[in-house]
Amino acid sequence: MNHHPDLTPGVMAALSWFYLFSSILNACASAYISYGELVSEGASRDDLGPKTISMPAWLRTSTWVFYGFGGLFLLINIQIAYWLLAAGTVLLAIFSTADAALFAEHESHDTGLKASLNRHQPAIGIGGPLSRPIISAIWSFVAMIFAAMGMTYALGAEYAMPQLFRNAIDNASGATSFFTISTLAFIAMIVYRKLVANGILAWAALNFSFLFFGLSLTDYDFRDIVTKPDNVPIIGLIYLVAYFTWIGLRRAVINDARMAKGLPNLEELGSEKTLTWPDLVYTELIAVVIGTVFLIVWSILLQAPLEQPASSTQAPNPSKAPWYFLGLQEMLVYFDPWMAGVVLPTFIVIGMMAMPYIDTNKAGNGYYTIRQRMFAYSTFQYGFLVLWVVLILLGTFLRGPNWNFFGPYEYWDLHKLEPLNNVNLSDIFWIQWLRQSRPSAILIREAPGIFLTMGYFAVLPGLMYAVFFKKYVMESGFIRYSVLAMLLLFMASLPIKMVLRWTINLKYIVAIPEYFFNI
Amino acid sequence: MADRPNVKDILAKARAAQASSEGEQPAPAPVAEPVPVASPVAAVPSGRPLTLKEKLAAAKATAASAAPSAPASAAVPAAAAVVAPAASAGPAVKVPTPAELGRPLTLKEKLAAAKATAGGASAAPAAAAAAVSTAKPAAAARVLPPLAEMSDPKDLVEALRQTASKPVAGKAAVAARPAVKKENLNLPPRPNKNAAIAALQGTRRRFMIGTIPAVAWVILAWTTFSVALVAFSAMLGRFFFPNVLAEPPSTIKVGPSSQFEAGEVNERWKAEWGFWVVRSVYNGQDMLYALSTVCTHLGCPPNWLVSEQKFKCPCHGSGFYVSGVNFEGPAPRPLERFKLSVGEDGQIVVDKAQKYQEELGQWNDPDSFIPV
Repeated sequence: MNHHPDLTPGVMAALSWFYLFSSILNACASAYISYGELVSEGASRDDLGPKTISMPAWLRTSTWVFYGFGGLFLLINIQIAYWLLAAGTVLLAIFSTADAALFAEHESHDTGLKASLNRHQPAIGIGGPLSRPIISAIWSFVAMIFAAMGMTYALGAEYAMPQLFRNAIDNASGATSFFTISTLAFIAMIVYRKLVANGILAWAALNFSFLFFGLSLTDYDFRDIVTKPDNVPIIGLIYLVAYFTWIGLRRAVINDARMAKGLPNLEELGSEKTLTWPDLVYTELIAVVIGTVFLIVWSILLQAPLEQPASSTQAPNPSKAPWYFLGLQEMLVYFDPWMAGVVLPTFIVIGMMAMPYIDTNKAGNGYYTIRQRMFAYSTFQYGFLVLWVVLILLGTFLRGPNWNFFGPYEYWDLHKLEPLNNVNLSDIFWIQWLRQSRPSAILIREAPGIFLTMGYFAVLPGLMYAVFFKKYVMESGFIRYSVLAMLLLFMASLPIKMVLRWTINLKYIVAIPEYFFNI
Repeated sequence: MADRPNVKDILAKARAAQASSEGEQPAPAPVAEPVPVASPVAAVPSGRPLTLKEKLAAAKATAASAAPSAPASAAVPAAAAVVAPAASAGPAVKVPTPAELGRPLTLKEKLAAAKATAGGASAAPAAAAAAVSTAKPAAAARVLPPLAEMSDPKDLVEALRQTASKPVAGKAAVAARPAVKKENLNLPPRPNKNAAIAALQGTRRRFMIGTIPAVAWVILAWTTFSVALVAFSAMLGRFFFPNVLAEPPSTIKVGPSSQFEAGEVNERWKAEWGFWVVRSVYNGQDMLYALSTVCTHLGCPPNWLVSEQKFKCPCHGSGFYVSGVNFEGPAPRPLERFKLSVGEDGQIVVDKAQKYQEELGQWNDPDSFIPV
């Protein structure tokens, strides 16, 4: 259902630059792998032989010439600038791989060498040694592909994401599947954290996200949502959150592997101190300058997303909270405002405050670790990543008019029909199961829900104790456990309620609108 | 600040007496020594360093004693040196040390000690003579490091301060005398507040005289501030009683019932009045009713979607049938109805002041709808 053209000259120009940018990143990665002195975290270069291959001067010069002139031509003729930059990128990609391959061949002849910086050994826990020529070749290849895609757009050829794909993704991305996939991905991230921590796989994931993003931008509706000034920062948020999560996870994986081998962890190796002057102050100064420039450019390029004057009888459709509250707004879809707006946020805040008192595990103090703090890490990250960040993404990109759920490539149809008929648990119990009308006495009517809720809070703590928390109670005492169990149950109530809403259209477990009490 | 000694003072006195009669623990300085050397360290529990409070008290005592000790010793060489002037006139001539008490000093005791020493300082010259007979028990007073040996900057500052105010001390001594006299009976020295007060007043008076303009300014400032505060409060209070109260009327005529077609949701009054007039069949009856445009979930205004025949909220997706009954999304209860009545001219009047909620069974109220 397309009301607008997917590709316009402006979009194609932007896409050609987007792919060029991705290509440059990959060419640089290739050159880094080929020429860089890769020293892994926690490894010392002191006992390694020197790096014997370095970037040839002619390549360095010519790359800078291409990029320099490219930059210059940005002001004069943007087309010429594009081709200059593209040529420089291709040159860099080709020759860094070629050099790596050539050197590998040389090195394979003299075997008696001691370990050298040429043979890169990733950090402990990350995996086996990697072959520079192969990795360099892969990134060069990716760089060439991206460059080719960009050039195709620059030459005026139109290609867009196949409609088949879009439909498939739209169909797959219901609220249910989106949330379920996020949860599964989160579990996978923790279980396969050794793979995730691998820099090569992470870089590959980054490339896939570029490809996905670039292809998606060919869709009008996707572009429309993503390029809203409101939503641009959320794209940044995806990459920032992903990056910081990854870097913490990687260091934790390395630390865990090191400690398993009896080695000191990374934080013990590095000196914690740095000179305030000039090191820290200069760093801060540079960060301040860059941040200021970035904000100024941003505010010039993207207009402030102001809307119509506020009115008590007209709300924008959809009416979205500020991005940082979109998780809360999504919670409000599943709960009474009293619950989602007051009780649950209070528990979030109280839970945060209670953390230091509940957490009696002294491991992980001053260093990254997952193994020693599995429960704390996974619980917090689930609450933050899935129950907050993912809900922000969902609210930003996938909630459309009338707060309906829309796929990323779906037209925001004001009249999208989503047949929903939410029912309370009392309806299900009395009318559907017992085939009788609901009793008029409120407490009897809501008895099933009340018993269920009470059971949830009364039985589950005991069950959890028996299955998971015996050791914790021994160590930390019963009161701490009670608080922890309550907080956990409240946290779990959100996904539980969401799933119930999606699966059986459950509105409220206990519904007493007469007294504004709905759970 | 009456002359009457209070419990604390008596207690302090008694303790001082006991301490001095019991023995030499408070270590009066050797008589021959011209300068009292017995530092607070002597009187302090040996096991720990001085606390800040103790240092302060000590500093005051020393300063008091050190300064006037010279003239005093000139007059009565034997006594003056030992009986630091503080001893003769101060109320807590003997400052009980934590060591003697077996507990830390209370705030009151510290205060008393500080006052005593201050008073003693000023009363010194006069007291010196009397001290010969009476001072013995009092010799236990905190005699503190002399100027030359002061290491704590606080001592120094205090000493300087006391030196600065010394000239006034002579006057205060007159006041101190009666108190000193009483001590001729071989009683433990009584607390003499007068001396202390007089000494204090001496300084205070001079302070006041020198700074009358400043005080006047302070008074002026506070007065102005208070007046401004009162005026502002009055303004604020006035604000709650506006001259014109633009409260919209709660009733509006929406026209005769014949004007509304079957199944119609009239949105004419949504923007300004916040209700829809709906003609629809509810409970098997064709009727007119006015539905509030406030979502019962969180108060957003839902939109009427003709094609789907439902009200749909843009904020969290609550949906309501044309009857106003909620069926999807988080809204916990149906939209509210407003009161309807037929005016004398046959026009329907909507009264927003009266609400009817379905979950309370109020939709059966004949005022909540008009049968058509």
